[in-house]
Amino acid sequence: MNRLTILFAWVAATPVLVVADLKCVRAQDSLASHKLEEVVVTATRSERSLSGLPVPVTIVPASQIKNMGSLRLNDVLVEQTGLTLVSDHGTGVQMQGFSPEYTLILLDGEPLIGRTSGTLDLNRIAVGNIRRVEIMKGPSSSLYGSEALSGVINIITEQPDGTKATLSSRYGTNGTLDLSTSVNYAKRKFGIYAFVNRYQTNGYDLSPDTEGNTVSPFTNYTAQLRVTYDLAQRTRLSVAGRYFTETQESVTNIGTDTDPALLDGDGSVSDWNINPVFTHSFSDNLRTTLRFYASTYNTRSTLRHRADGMLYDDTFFDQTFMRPEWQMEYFVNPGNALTMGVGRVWETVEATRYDDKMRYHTDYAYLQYEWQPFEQFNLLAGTRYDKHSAYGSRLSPKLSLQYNVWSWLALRSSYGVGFKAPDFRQLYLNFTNTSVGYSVFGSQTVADGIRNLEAQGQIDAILVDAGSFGSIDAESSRAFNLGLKLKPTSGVNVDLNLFRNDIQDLIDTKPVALKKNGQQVFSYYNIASVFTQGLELDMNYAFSNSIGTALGYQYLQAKDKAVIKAVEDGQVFARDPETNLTSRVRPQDYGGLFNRSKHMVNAKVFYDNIDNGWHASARIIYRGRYGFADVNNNSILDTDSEYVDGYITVNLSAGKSFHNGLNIQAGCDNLFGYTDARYIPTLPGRIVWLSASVTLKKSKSDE
Amino acid sequence: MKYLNMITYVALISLLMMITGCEESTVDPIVALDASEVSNLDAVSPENFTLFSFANNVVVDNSDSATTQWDIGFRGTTIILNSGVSGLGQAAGQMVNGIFEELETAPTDGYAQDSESAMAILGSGGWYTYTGTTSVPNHAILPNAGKILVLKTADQKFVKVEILSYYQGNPSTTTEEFADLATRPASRYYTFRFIFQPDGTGNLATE
Repeated sequence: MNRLTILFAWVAATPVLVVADLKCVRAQDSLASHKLEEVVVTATRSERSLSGLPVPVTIVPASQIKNMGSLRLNDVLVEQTGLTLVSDHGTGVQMQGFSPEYTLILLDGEPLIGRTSGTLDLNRIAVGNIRRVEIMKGPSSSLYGSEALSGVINIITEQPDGTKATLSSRYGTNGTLDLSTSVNYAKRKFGIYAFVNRYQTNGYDLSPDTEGNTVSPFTNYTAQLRVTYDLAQRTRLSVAGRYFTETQESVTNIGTDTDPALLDGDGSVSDWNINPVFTHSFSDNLRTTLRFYASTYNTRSTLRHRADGMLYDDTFFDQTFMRPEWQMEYFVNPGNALTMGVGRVWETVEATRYDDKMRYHTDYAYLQYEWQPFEQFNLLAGTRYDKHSAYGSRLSPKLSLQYNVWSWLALRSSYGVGFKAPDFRQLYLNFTNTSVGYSVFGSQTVADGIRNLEAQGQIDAILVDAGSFGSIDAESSRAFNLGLKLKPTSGVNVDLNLFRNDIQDLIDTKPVALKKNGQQVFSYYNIASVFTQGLELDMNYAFSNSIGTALGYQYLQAKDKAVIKAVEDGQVFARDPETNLTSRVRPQDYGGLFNRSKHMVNAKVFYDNIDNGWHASARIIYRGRYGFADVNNNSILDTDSEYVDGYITVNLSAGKSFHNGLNIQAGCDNLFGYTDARYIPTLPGRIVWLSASVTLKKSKSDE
Repeated sequence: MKYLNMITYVALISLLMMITGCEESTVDPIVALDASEVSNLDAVSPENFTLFSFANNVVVDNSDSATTQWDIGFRGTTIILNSGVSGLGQAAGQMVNGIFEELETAPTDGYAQDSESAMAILGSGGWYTYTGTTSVPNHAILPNAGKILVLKTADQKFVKVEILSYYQGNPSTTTEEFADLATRPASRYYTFRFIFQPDGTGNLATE
């Protein structure tokens, strides 16, 4: 078939917008450069070349992470196009406008567990042992099941390779001291990689007038070990394990400024996981993988009155996750490949706000087909079936295509379905606020909970049909991604992606009964429907072998469909908080979901001179204004005073690597010291740091 | 001819209706209704409701609680109507979404009286929102925007009410002073405005 015919057919089936963008991107023709072939595992669960993948994937290589001087995963992600950090019981990541609970975080392909209010604290992940981070956008439940709604972030750690040892340290503002060491050894059939990290910080306080820190001092340790052994020429066993532990001390004032009542807090968080993987190739065409993954996550926190040492609050949360999985890959011929897998997940949770140890399991199977009928065309089709013991089953298909029209232009599009199973809290919570008096139950505990309260004579009236108790469905999304990859001249790469996610059955609380104390009983239901849509643009230009620049931009809209309808119907009102007078909200005033920036920009320059060892980087990150909370009493974002101003952070680093393995580096993050104590607690002021590392390597000739 | 007769007839009837309509308005013009504002109605008492009469625009002494002289009562965030479990009267009410000035006619049905299972005017999630700890300002009781209370008084006259503030002095809720619990004006002081229609109709147009 004629390339042009295909191109035109493709474009014709595509919104006019894309055509317009094609034109504007082609105007960049004057730039020039090159790029090495990169591999990705997240899209198919085995290594594939990035250029052939029909789905949007961003790779952040270790070299870039080292050049930036980053310590924790949040430092890395905040600088990537379309990602922003959200603070809600930890630092999470927002992708394509989705809250952190909708992005699956994988460590070497296995899910990290331990979320508080849906946020997996990225600060738990050290980056010193990372080979690369893969960021795949768009729903990926067809491969990964629940939680992979907005996308997947896969942290790929080092593999045993050569004989090497490293020691590194970094010290900076806020007494932040980071120490890491790693050992790498591989010989014939045996390989081992070990990594240990200690991170300590005094935290920081953006509002010194009030008691307690914005971030309290904490110390954590990460240890990771991987051992590989080739049982036979085509058979390999790999065992990886991780242990993480963190302790934190805090002070909280529950009194007033003039009459303080202080609470001393002690918190601890730990997780461990183990991941043996057995791979065997029956032939060049047929490969099987047996994986086992087990993980636990535990938190405990106590609050004591400083005055008398009496216990004020004591909470714990223990979660376990266990998963055996069997996968087969069959390369029928160079143009056809099949991947299939089956597995089961057992999960348990035991916590202060749950009655007993709660358990559920999920059985799943997935099938993926890669088709390359001719060189320019790639198709990836997959589907996964998940059967959950508590709420039901899901089928998640996805189809992605890429067509390389010319060597400098590739078009790709994908359509997929994602879901997020109701979490423990939404299924099993049993919580009564003792000071205010309301109660919240999970969908599986609400019937019993109401019955108990009725027996105690606490229920005044039931507000919903009791038949609705226990009915809850997964949150789900349908998403369309449409993109193009452009290489107008050597050295220039342009990646453009348009996305639209329609999310339905979002789970929220709703009053189900009225208590005699005037308070309500809440439970979880599938309520809201929202959409997110926008554009991501990444441009890279390498001036030379040692200087690279990157520019990223995201435009985002994220809105609640019911709110749009209500505003159009004139049923949403606002109360001016200064005059207390009421007015009707106009459709153009609705700003969408809170905490979403319409515009986000990053611009970066990296310098890395292999000849003389000097390296440096400058990164400018802009986050456009976003809504923080309702101030005019209608619970939606609709007036200027509900926005946080946009802001810029500038991060710099520079250093030199010596031939003897020594590397010295200094940097400054948030150069202009931008802070906002009230609305951006995650952003400390200016951070100045100095680091030194040494790598001892046995050269190949010595072996 | 027959048709012409009919047309004439219809025209005459219409004319007559117009004339009588005009006559009515000249003979008995609609009373221009002005909104009354009540400031800092004290609902501080933990025991007694502060009772209020719309017809007289006055606070009614608590010794008259067993009469139909009052229409509505306030105690903290709880609002009662003089009916059902709360009083001897026939008051009733409902909440209507809208703008105070735009609500020109009271709904004909949908009114509830205070009963064992629920007060006619729901508190949390009804007339107000409690901001809790997550939003700014913390721990504040804020009247919900666009919620108009349409009530029938103890003697079945219509009134529309908009609650403006739960704090003394009807303060701005965006100030630092309001955000800080130590300096926030005292709560349990209602400021509201209302239009009372004495003629027994549901006409609640302003002016």
